[in-house]
Amino acid sequence: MGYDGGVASLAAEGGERRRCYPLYPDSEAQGERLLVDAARVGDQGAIAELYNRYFPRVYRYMLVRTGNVGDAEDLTEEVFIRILDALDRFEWRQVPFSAWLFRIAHNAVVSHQRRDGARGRLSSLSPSLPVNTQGPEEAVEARLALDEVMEATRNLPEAQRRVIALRFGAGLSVAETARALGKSGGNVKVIQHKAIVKLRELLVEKRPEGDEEKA
Amino acid sequence: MKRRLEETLEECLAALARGQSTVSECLALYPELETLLHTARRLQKIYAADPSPLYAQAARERFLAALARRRQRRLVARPARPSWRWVPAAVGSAALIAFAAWASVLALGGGGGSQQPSISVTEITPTSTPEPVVSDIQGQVERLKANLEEVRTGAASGAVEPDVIQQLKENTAALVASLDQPPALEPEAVSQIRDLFADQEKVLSEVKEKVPLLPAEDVDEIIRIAGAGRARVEEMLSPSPTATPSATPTASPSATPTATPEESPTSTATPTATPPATVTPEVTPTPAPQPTPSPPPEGGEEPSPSATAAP
Repeated sequence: MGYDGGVASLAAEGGERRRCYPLYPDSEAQGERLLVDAARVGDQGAIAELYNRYFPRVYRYMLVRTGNVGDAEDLTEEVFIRILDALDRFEWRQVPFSAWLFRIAHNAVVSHQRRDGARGRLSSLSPSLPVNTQGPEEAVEARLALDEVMEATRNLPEAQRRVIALRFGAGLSVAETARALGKSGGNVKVIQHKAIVKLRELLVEKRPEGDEEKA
Repeated sequence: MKRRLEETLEECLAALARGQSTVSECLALYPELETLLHTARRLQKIYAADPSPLYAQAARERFLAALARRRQRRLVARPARPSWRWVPAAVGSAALIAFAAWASVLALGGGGGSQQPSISVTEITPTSTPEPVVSDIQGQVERLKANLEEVRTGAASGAVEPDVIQQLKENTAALVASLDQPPALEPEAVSQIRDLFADQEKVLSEVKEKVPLLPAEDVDEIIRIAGAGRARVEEMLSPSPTATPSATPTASPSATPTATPEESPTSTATPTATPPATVTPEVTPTPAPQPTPSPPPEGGEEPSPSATAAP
């Protein structure tokens, strides 16, 4: 039930109908549009495919925003439930689907923070969190690095945190990030630059002297 | 200079993401980016954390289950109209036609002249509006709650999307419309709807002041609709005998036979509390009603030109 290269097919329920969504890079936006339109009218296969596409990105976004695996997991699921409820009301009004989706994600984070009454609960990352490494030593090191970066990210101002989460967590382009935030591309680049400078400062502060280059 | 640094940093990051360049190539062009580029690359690498496979699998199953539930709810909310739904209407129509024919025969056979009472008979046709079901209303309530939460959230961050306001308006109107023919809702559910409307009025009044860029007329209209909905729900919570909604048949004019008074169908036309009267008897004063059919009149019978049908 996934995309299978250049021309991916999604079978509708029972395999009665099959729809094709092109996935060549130059037609990726068009492919996503077809996919989203199919999902909007209730195509279960298209909805499942959108979920597959965006699930890891939303999860990473949430991880950056909350700095907490448990919260990231809960909020990721909440976002997709919200999307299910809102999908038929989505309209292609200047914003791409990704921007719309991550606005919902942002709203979920804000609601969560209000519920918790805190700006992100602090807790160490789950030991079960895989960090794309190979050996156990590397995994430990990577986990520590992730903890360190998360903590530094939590100290960024809200706007910088949102840009970092969208750019490096969700993997959005500058243009998509700008649409999601309702800002200009130039503004996003400025915020991104400031955030990276600030993060570097925070990470270097944590390091022992002579170890700055790792930041 | 600083602005240029932002541009070149993004240029390098984009080139790296597309695989069109390497870090060393970027740094050869822009050595001033060294520290920033390394930090950015490190962020990219570290944030590429995947969810644990166990969680991902469980989350996917929960999502698919939610998807299936929603699909089922949609199907329940829009049931196919069964063919037997029209059976009572067909039987009713046939009875009316038979009655009209019988009355005509009686009138032709024993009409008492031009002073016979004329009765306008209106045909009762079933309404075609599908009645909402409980799950439909529950779904609407949930959607409304989610909308309201979005408005709250948006207001907290200083901006509410116009789409959200529009959705709130549509969903509020839909819920209020559903209450015109409410299914058998539990009192608790009705109270919940009332509280939701009240909450909505309160939140929107606050939001209107906090977020000046909102379209005030839309917000006012939503508040008005929610107020109407709340009043309707309160009416449901304290029912009066006249407030019991019934099927609202529409009336349309039909044959207007003339009949003797004792054949008047008024006994079947029990007026209900609902405004549209189902049968409007229009009895022309008869100086000397004749209990038994009289011989055929000389000039035949004319349907009453004043035959009217209640809307």
